[in-house]
Amino acid sequence: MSDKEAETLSQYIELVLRNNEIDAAKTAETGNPETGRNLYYEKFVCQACHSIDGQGGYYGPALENTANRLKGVWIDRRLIDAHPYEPEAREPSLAIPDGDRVDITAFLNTLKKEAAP
Amino acid sequence: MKIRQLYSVFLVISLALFAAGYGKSAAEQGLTEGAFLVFDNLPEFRVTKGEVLYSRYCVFCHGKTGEGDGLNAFSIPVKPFSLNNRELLDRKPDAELEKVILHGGASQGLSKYMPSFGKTLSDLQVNYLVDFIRNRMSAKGSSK
Repeated sequence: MSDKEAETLSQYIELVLRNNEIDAAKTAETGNPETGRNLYYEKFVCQACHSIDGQGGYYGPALENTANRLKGVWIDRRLIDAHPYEPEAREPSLAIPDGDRVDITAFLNTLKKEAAP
Repeated sequence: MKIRQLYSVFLVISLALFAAGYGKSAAEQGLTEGAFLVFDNLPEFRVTKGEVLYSRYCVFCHGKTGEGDGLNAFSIPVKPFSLNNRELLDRKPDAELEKVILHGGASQGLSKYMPSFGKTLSDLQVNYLVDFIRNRMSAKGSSK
């Protein structure tokens, strides 16, 4: 790709594809991880399909290394509805309320695996 | 000669149909779910639609035969409901099954591991699922 083509592509992404709603979304900094943990296990029962350190279902991806893999804002959007980003997703649209979502995102952002030495 | 004329007419009609809608999604053609009312009322059509939805959203926990032995069933503490058990299913009216699918198991005093699909499936799709479960999985007619 030439420099000119790269610049044109960047401008297209910036002007057309960029989702301002995502830019404005709350991120994990304001959430409470402990509350998020309770919501994850008790209210939304995410462990039915997702595992953390081998505990839980394996229908969805394992989440033990979420902090290293995903940005908070991405988690936040997926928690509302995965289908705009992955039309074939089998995860139900949970429509988790704003406050709960921020806390769950904060909890998931505490899940980090250190790289093997 | 007659066959040739018939063939020409067939070709013209085919091309017209192609130009009108072939390759377009239902939405692009101005159709919405439920637009095919004739089909929506055909039991076999409804069951087939339900089967597609079942294999997409339910089979991983409830299993291929509805036994509650899907691959994910072994990793959750409560065994998924046996959808192929006539006796159990006969105690559940369609309305209750629909509520469980729409609002999740906990909403009906059942397992909290059954998620809600109310934001994922339309009412019509939930009806298809219930039709499939009643008519195919438990081989029993609707108890509506």
